[in-house]
Amino acid sequence: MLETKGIEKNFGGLKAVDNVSIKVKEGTIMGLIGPNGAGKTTFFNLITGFLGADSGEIKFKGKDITNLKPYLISRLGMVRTFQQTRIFPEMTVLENLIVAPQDNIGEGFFDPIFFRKALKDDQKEKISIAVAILKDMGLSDQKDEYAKNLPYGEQKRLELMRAVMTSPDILLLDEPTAGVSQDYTDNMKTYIKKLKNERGITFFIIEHKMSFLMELAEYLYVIDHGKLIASGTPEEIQNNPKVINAYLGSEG
Amino acid sequence: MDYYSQVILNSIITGGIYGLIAVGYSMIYSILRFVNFSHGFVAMMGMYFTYALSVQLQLPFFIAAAGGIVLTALLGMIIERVAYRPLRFSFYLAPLVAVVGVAFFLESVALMVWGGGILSYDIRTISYKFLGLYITNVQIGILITLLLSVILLYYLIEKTTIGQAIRATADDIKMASLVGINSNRIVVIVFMLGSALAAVGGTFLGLETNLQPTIGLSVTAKSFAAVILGGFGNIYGGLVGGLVLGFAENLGVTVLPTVWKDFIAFGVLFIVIYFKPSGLLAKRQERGGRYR
Amino acid sequence: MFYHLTILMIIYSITCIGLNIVVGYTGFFSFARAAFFGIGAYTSALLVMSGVPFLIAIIAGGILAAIFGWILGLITVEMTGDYFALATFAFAEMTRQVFINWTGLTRGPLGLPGIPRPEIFGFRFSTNQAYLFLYIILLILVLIITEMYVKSPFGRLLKTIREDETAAQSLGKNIAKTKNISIAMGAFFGGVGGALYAHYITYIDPSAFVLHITIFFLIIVIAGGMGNNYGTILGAVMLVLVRELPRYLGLSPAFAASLQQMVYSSILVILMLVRPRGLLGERKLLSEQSSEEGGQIRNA
Repeated sequence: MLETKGIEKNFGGLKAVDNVSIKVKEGTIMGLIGPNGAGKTTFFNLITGFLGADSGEIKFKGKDITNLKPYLISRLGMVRTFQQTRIFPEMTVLENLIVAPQDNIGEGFFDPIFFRKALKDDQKEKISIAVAILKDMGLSDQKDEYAKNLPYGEQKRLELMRAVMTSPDILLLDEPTAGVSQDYTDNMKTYIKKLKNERGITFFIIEHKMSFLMELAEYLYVIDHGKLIASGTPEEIQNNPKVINAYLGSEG
Repeated sequence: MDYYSQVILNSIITGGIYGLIAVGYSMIYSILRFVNFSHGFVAMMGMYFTYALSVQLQLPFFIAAAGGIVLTALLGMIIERVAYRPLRFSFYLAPLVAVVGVAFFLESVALMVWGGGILSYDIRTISYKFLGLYITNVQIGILITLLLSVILLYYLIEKTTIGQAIRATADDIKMASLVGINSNRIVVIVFMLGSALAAVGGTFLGLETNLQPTIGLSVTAKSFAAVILGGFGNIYGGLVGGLVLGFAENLGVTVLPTVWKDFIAFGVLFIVIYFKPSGLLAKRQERGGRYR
Repeated sequence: MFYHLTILMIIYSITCIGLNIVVGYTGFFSFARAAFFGIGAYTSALLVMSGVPFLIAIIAGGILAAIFGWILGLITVEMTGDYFALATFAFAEMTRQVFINWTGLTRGPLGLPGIPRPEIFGFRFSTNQAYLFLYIILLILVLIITEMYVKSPFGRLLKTIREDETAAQSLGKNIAKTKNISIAMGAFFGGVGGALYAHYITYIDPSAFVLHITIFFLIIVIAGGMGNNYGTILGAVMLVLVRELPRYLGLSPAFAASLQQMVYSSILVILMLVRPRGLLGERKLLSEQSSEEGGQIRNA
């Protein structure tokens, strides 16, 4: 479904991402791990168009999306979240969600005048979808709260829910459990599994914490210093000396 | 030929004045990434403080100018205390809006105290002809003081402990406070120093042209253009940018009618903002969690 | 005096409702307001003076301002925060220099005297009462249209730009286009406001479109509460009182002018210190009411 070939990005003299080729299969949960500063987030930024690649090719659903604008990539069905959560702080939880769908009626210039009825019906429908998702995640009580007032862990969940509201084919999550408690982490895990099973969403997840992906992912890629150093099932990765070295090297 | 040498000399003088004001601006900008909209208005106040002391109180000009500089530095301190410090962690636009308020407040004060008319310092100018160029005693004085100010500033920034702390804070304000630099104190010092430089520049502007309470706005615009031209993160960037701007303005007028002079200045500002290095934008966006 | 002040309040309200779209909802600090106000004023005044009907002329003033807004939006699309503010400021000053120097069209600093008062279908609005009536209708019209927009998903989209452009892009929103529409819409109402001003005062010159007037408009929006159209109207009422009342205190005009500037610049600083979000905050969308009208006003 998603494929990169020899993708590269330089910052000054530094090769942040160096000749990385990966494949994400439809209907799976795949992971990307690596020590801090390995180039994981840069890689995500390249795939989602927030950064331009220096060379290489990115294909999504068989279409070349290299250096396409971020919003166009998102419209093709690949939606991401951010390592440093980016919610809309001065909007309510509900507003955060109903703004997300890409087929919203009424976002064009002429819509509010010519499609008033359709717009209202569409909004009602989107609100009910959002309310259902909130119930699913146990956040119904906070739906009229400003997003900025939520605890950090719930902001991360809100960001994920907002991404789900766009009805994506693939979700790219950048450290979905960074800085949140064990409870939230477990909750997140169940939710991701549920989304995969019920909605058939494919996942590609960055994590620094290995344990999270060990249980969740079916296949893992490991990068270090911008280079792909290993790939395989969680068991294979766990026993790969190169990976252990990379992690130990960075911690030590 | 002579005509162009004269234009170049004038460019150096006006450019140097802009540069000096802009250095004060870029110091504040490089540390706080904060557009101090009131800077040009502070320069205007410096210009009038010197006027009050030298013409109204009849003090000798150099003493009056020194007094004007000190008063302006104090004004910088007050602005920091009232309009910047309490708002540093407020709504992201609050400090900018507040200094806009301060700027217009200062202008209204100047209008009330000194009136809207054109004033000038009571100084006799003597014109010399030197190598075919016309230069006045005042301009010679400006050039010498400019040079001295730059040397003094360089010494202060590069050779003293305070300068070291300022440079460290400009590099990375969080890091600086981690290693024990009192960043609040540095911010105050920078505001005072920046305002003092603005006062020197403002007094020069008053000497070169005349005194008008409404020049604040264009001085703010020009110093910002100078800072962007000269490059950010570098305290001396404004000096170079000011010189470039001085040349652009004086040379532009040789091609276009004089009435379009301000149009050129603002056009330069616009173009400069448009073509700013993209690395800067990235840096801003990273900081840009606007409500955080 | 009552009619005069109320008419000014309405003109400024219309202009600032436009500004609020850009500043309050989209979150971009535009200093170009005086330029749009001036473009609208000159366009409409010149058109009416050459025989174009009043209604067509004010709309033309709005549209020309919107076109300039659109172009400005295209150029500034990549800019954030302070840079956008400065670019719009430079644009406004350049526009004013054109007003001053294009003497063939604008008569430069001499100004345009004798701008006709409005005339619609043969009815001439010559008294201040008739004037007030006409302008109230226009204000209501502007308010209905803007409220329709800001309450719709379009308005919500504007807010996502203010909150976090990057996140909005990641959701597949075309931010550049939306931002442009917002600036052009804001400019349109700015232009209409300028046109109404020109036909009321009947004389314009470049000094009416200096940065001070932009600042004045910004204070109206900020003081009333960003992202709230009723707040903007409240701001216009307050600021017109603050600005115009000193004129009736029997002070010399020059002193009164600097006094009013002093008062409103102090208000600006104090507001930022006490209530950076303005007096009335934004209204939330509450789930119970779905997207029904009549959102409750809450302070942010």
